[in-house]
Amino acid sequence: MVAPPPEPYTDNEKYDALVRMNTELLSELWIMRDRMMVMEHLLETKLGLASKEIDDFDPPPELESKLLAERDALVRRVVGAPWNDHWTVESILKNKGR
Amino acid sequence: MRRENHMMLDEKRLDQSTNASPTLGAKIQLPQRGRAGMQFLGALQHYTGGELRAIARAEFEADPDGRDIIARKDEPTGHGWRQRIAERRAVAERSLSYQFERLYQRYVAEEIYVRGIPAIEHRRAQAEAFMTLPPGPRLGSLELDPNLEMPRYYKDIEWHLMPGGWDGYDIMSPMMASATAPLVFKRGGWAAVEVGDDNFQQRLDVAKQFRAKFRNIYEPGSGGSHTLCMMHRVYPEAELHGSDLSAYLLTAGHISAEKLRIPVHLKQRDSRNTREPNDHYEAVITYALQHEMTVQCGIDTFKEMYRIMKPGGEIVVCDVPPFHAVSPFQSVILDWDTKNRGEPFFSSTREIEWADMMRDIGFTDVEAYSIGKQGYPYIQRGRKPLSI
Repeated sequence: MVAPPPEPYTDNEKYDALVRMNTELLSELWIMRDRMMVMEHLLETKLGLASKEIDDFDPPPELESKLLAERDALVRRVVGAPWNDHWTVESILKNKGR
Repeated sequence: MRRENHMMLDEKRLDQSTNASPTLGAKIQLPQRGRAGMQFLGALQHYTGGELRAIARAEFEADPDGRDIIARKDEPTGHGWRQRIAERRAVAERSLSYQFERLYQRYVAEEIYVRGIPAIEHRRAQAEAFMTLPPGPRLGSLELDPNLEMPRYYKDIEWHLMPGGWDGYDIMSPMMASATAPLVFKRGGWAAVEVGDDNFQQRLDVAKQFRAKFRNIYEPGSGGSHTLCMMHRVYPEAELHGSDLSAYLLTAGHISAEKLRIPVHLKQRDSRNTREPNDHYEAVITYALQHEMTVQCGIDTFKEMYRIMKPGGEIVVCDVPPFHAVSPFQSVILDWDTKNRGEPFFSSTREIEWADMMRDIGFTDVEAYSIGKQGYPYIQRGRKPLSI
């Protein structure tokens, strides 16, 4: 088994842990962006759907409402994380999380 | 660092220069998640090993204590390095840039295996084919010795944070060739390799450090045969012989050389006792081997190389520079690998100027010099005298 680092690199293992968490998230973000770019490329080359069409796309009302709900939920989960320290069954169902 | 360079030779470039007929096939295409995740590590190391480390270096040089350390000119080599490095590290660690750059350096060193292994597992069938030779005659040879006793200094070390060590994972070689080398290491910024350095070109430059042609060459610690295959590029007529402790690396090196149609003869040996005849080889090369053995083992290896070399033969040694040959800040960077990257002998072997050791053993015309940025690659070369 590979041994853990002998000591934290930032003088505080909590900061080390936070940096590692942040880096994992950044990595996940890049992997998704990479996948999106691959998908756009494949859509264009195989189906003729140019990425400009995605840029110019105006979501219809039924999709816009879904996007709005997902966007608000994401902001609440991430930005509101430090304050989301009380929850109930109802709030979990309503917020799809804390 | 020697074999974290599992980088397979750039076959097209090799083909152009040697008329070899590469049949190794294209590198294995990883699934999107694995590829993108490894590329992210390459980008992270490129930025932190370049820009962030440059800031840390500037902060060291601007620190009053750092300036005082840099101004000292009278420090002897070979003594007191642990205390000196500790003093330098204390200054470097005042920099937040240094702290974060080191944390990211460690993170990437861990993740190249944590991500690389699952990525190559998705392509196991291709990886196993990569590790297989078709039936037929061989140009070179491979002689494994299952009874060879592994030295105590070598056993159970997970070099470079590689889970299980050199022989711990059956498809490590295709993983390194298809994931780590092209997607992470290629951008530099790891260990002694600076951002922007071309690892392939560095090895080629090292191969050109011999002052005379030769008919045969021996490489102790030949790992995946990358250096021997590079020697073939520069000296296509020379017989190539190598040895290593690791059966896995030797096997991978044999397969690579055969697929590149380069005749390489490999034996599983301890470099202190190669069982080769006296006065036989006209040239010897070692590539990033010294720092992966104890100082005493390094001395004994040089003595053994001296024994098997023909009088008049030449030895070229390439490794990480010794502490005396780099800036105080860079010495902290190099020393860090000892405790943080599975390199237990990195620091103890950098306290020594091996050119002095080579002279003590009997080599003549000994020179030591750098051919790269921040002192790496560092070359020591010498000759076995014609008359002893």
